[in-house]
This record gives sequence, C-alpha cells and structure tokens, in this order.
Amino acid sequence: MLWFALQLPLFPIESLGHGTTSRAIGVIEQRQITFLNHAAREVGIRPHMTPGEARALSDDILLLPRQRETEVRSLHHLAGWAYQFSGQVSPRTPNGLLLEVGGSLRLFGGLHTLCRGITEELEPLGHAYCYGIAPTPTAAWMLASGGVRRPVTRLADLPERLAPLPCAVLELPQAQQQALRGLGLQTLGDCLRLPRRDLARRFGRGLLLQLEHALGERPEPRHGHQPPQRFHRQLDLPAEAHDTRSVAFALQRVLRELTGLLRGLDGGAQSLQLELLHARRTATRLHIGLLRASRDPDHLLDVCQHRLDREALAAPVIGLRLRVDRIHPLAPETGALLPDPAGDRAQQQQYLRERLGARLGEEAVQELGLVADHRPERAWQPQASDTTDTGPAGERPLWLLPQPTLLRQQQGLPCWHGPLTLEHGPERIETGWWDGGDVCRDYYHARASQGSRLWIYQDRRSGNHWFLHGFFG
Amino acid sequence: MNNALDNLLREPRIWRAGNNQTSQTGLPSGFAELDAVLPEGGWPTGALTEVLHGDPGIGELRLVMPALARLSRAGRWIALVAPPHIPYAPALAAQGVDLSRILLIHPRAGGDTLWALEQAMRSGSCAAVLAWPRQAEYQQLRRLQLAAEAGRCWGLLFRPERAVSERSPAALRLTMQGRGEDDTRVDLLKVRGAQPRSGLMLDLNNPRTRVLPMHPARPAAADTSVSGTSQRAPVFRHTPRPTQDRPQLDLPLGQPRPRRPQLVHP
Repeated sequence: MLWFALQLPLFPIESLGHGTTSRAIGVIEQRQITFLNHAAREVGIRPHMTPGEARALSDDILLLPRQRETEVRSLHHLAGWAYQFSGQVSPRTPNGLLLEVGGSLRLFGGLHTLCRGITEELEPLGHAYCYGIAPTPTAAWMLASGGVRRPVTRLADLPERLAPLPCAVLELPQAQQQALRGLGLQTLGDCLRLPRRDLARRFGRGLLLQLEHALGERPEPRHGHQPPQRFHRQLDLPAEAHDTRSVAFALQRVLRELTGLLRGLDGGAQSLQLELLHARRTATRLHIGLLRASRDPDHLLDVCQHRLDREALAAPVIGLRLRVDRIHPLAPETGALLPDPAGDRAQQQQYLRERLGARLGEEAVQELGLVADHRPERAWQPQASDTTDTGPAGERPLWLLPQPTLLRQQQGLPCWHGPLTLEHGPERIETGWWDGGDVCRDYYHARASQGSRLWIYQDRRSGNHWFLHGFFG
Repeated sequence: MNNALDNLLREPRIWRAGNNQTSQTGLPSGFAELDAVLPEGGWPTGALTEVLHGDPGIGELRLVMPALARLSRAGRWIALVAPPHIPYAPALAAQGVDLSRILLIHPRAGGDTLWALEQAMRSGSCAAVLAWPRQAEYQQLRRLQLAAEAGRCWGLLFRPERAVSERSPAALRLTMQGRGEDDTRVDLLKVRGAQPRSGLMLDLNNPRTRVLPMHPARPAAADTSVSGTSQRAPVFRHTPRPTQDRPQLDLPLGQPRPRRPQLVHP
C-alpha cells in the first residue's frame, strides 16, 4: 500500500468560489478566523484572530462565514475527479484526499510520472495544494502537512523519516499542542522517544493513536469513496459575470472535474445540461449535445464556448450548474504508431460539426440522402439514408426549388426572364394518389434566352399551369 | 530606397511571379480545356475560387461537379454553406457524388455564414467548401483565403456577376456566360500564377472524365419519357455484376452521349 495524501490548505476559501484572487480573504467560524489566504497573511492576520482584529489590520479584507456543507460537496466532487488516478479514493474532511496509489504505479509508469500527472491535472482546478506519500495514510498526511514531498516507500523507513517533522503536524487541540511545547517536545522524534504509556497518560489516546496509525502499528482502514454515476455540479462565481467569456472561465474548471471523473469511470459525456444562474430570474438552460461521447476537456470547452457565444445573457450570471445524467462507456483512445490522416480528418470533421451545431443550432447542420419516391420533392431528405437507388432515369436538376414557382405564360408558352425554349420532354410523373400527395405533371427541360437551363413542369391537375421546379445548375 | 522596395515586397498582397510557392498540384476539373490553362493543372486547392455568374442554371454546379464527385469518392468531405436552393440529392448522386460525404450548413444570419465558412475551411477535414455569401468585403474574403490555406481546402464562392468589379484575394476568379447551345463560355478574370484567359468554351454536360454514380440502379435510358405512371412500375432487382464491386473512380466515357436539343411542342 502506498498512500498519496493531497492536502488543500485553502479549501474552505476555494470552495466558496474565491480561489484565485489577490484580495485578502478569511473564513470565520465561531467568531474566529480559521482559514486565510496568502494575501491576508501578508498584512499580518493570523488564525484564531477575531473579525474585529482582522479588520483593524486590513479594512479591505473579505470575511466569509464557513460553509461546511459546500465544502463537503466540493470535496466529494474532487474525490470523483481523483478517481482517475486511483481505485481507492477517500475524502479526508475537511480539506484533503487520500489516494491509494500503490496499485496505480504500473499503469502510470512510476511514482514520479504519477505525481506529475496529478499535479498537472490539479493546476487548472485552481487549488493550492501540498502532498505527501507514505505507506500509511496518516504518515502521508503528516508529510503533506510538514511540506515534505519526498516519498517514503518502505514501512521500515517511516520512524526515521517522520522524526524530523514538527509536532504541529499532529492534529491535537490547541491546549495539547501548547502542552507538548511546554514539555520541550518539538518534533515527532521527541515524542517517539518517550515511553508510549506515559505519552498516553499525559495526552490521552488521541496522540498515541495518531502515532501508531502513522507508523503502521495499528491498522487504519479507510472508507473508499464510491464515484457517482452521474455528475451534478454547481459553482458560484466569485463576482457577477456580464459576458459569456467569464462564464466560460468558470466552466472550464467544472469541465476539468467532469473529465477527471469520466476518465476514472472510463466513460464519456454525450449530453450536457448547463444552467446559468441569475440573481432574480429563472436560470438559463442550455443543452449541449455531442455527436459522440467525449472526455477531452478542451473539446468539451470548445463546444460549450460556441454554444455560449450564441446565447445573449438575459441577466448577469452568479453561478452555473452542470449536469451530466448519463455517462456513456467509452473505448479508450489508442495512440496510433503511424500518423493516420484519415482518422485525424474524421475526428476533425466530428469536432467541426459539433462546433457548428453548438453555435448555429443542431438543425442547421444537415446531411443529404435519397428517398425512393418518384415525386421530385420527396426523392430526397435532409438526413443520411441507406437508399442508393438514384430513382428514375431521367436527368434531374442539381438545384431544386423548395416551392415550385408559377410561371407567366405568353401565347401558351412559359416565360422566365423572357420566353423559354423547351428542349427535352415531356417526362410524365403521375403518382402519389394513395397518400394524399397526388401529382400529375409533365416535366420539360427548358432553356432561357441568357443560357440558364430550367426544369419546369405543366401541372395537369390544375389547369395546365406552368411551374418552375429547378435549375440544372 | 532599398528599404522601400523591401517593404513593398513584404506586402502580402504582392505576388511575385518568380516564386511559384504553390507547388501542390491542382484538383483535375474534368474539363481538358480548363485544366490546360490553370497553372496547377486543375482547381487550386488551399485557396479561394470565385465563380461569378448571373442567373442560376447556367452550369455553375456542373462546372465543379466532376472535381467534387472525385473528392467525395475519395472519402473527403464537402460542405455546402447557405445554398440558395435545395441541392438535389438524386442529381448529385447521378453526377457520381457520394452523398454520405456532403454536409449542408444553413446559418441564419450573415455573420454566422462567414463564421461557419471559416470554421469549415480551417478545420482541415473538408476538402471543398462551397458557399453562396450574400455579401463579402475584401477583408472577409482575405480571412477566408487564409482559412482555406490553413485547412488546405478548396474554397468555392459563388457570387453574382456584379462582383466582377470588386477586388478579391481569391486565387482564381472566373465568370460564366451561357450560350444558346450546349457550350458555356468561361472567362478567367484572375489566375494566380498565370495570365488571365478569356473565351474558353466548355461543354459542361460532357466532361472529359466523368465519375460514375455509386450504384447505377438501372441502365440509363435517357429517352424514356414516362418514368412513373399511376401504378408503380415493378422494380427489378438484378444481382450486380462483379465489376460494379470494384471502386470506380474516374473512368473516361467511351463516347460522349449525344444530346442535341430537340424542340418539342407541348
């Protein structure tokens, strides 16, 4: 077993949507500042200060009440994201994840590559993080708290490697920490040198349990996180967004979480429901459909962005909600040994159609197909078809008019920009009496004086009027 | 002074006859007379071609059909953006076009048309993009030309005749005029890499090479006048000859089909 402890020191701030800002921010709980960001630390604010003290140091500081439910929800989403790296992910409330990575090493090609993969995927999510790697979850967490990134891979090395860590990595009440310092115990090594029984008598079972868990002397089963089979995520924007560009920025984060989950579940999303939340209006609902399930974050973002471009925002956006109800199984992408231009083009073509569909509307992108019908207007359809029967043998025009146009007549002959010369015909089409689309027409090829070739017909059902039905383009 | 000349030569609009940078070969048009005067031996790929014509039906599509059919049968995609009428599937199939390779795009607004055009040209997946833009400024055409270069796509713009006087970055501009006869007069107004040429007479109904339809359903009987009667004609399903399973690309027609106009009086 090898555990990767991911610690997010600013998670309570980030889960409130204020991750990337240069403004000083603190989170208050029970009239005490419990979490604060770097900017707040710089002006001299420290944990356990009261809001009044903090405001005295900086009048610009943004103090937010802590919202534990939001944190837990965000942490579970993050656990879903982390599922791509490990089959056993365990959220560690309030602000961390524990991943069993011993089983993933071979898949990812070693510990170093795995760590790089995790951090590279983590960057776009905008979390501040530190991590530690050790054979027990608690030891990994302690290493992460102590800021030691060098992994410990063997259980036997643990006592030696944990010894230099300060006692602050232990999770103890304030009073006990003070007591440790009072005894002159600075590091974990100092604690480990003391007789265990004395330690337990003085500090209770809590401290001893942590040390025993860390050293692997006492088993520590972790509850594994079950990844959800669908994705529901709501994200509040730090400020009102007035244009779709800033919405897309937030959306990118959510999509990264989604694709992490999809990779873990070995699936893809084909249909995304995006809701833009407004302050005093019902949410704008957008549906984003793909031709094929995908889990490429850049591709998903591209399609979403084109869909957003089409939308005129009715009101400023304060948050967004992304739902993927169905996760489709997806065959893993296989890298080709040799470049495959046809495959690349097929992929490009699919992306092109999705981009066009997202911005112009899905009905604006069509295909062509044949239908076995003698009536010209019914011999085609705007979808692909399996029919390869090209229909009657007569020559057909390349352009068909959606509605036949009535032609003027001069001395019994049809006119279109001058009198027409009939060149070829008639081809009689008389059919459709059984389904209400009865036609009886004599089709002719005609030529206009300036050279256009036309496909016209004389309607034998309605008084022998002439109609223009197409051009031999 | 040298500097001024250098600046001038760096201007992207100036094409220097000396460096024929388009080493790629053109797309055979199927019309021998046309291929002979085009510098690349065919339609320029990776560039814009403008077809300026008056009324529809003059042969503007027949002119490009052999090339499109050949592209589609090679498995390449063809996009039609904002066509003015319905591109009629049975006629396209009869010209040898593989319909499964056709993509129709119907943008609603003019701005969307240019956007869709640029996307389709730039994506690299469409071998040819045909468009009927209602209006196009020089700057927009320039963008499209760059997009066609980037996507190595044959950008075909069909524009009204009055655009003749406007300047354009297209690699090839031609006008078409119908005659009373079968021949259509094609004037090349601008040819990148060669001299303009006017007065080409093309018989658009009989290209030198013709792509056969995918599955010839029944023997061509052009003179059968009555094709559908009040009762459905029985459909004979004959087993296809083995030769039809072979890919049929561009087979030269043995003899051009004689099709002189016949005057009929209804």
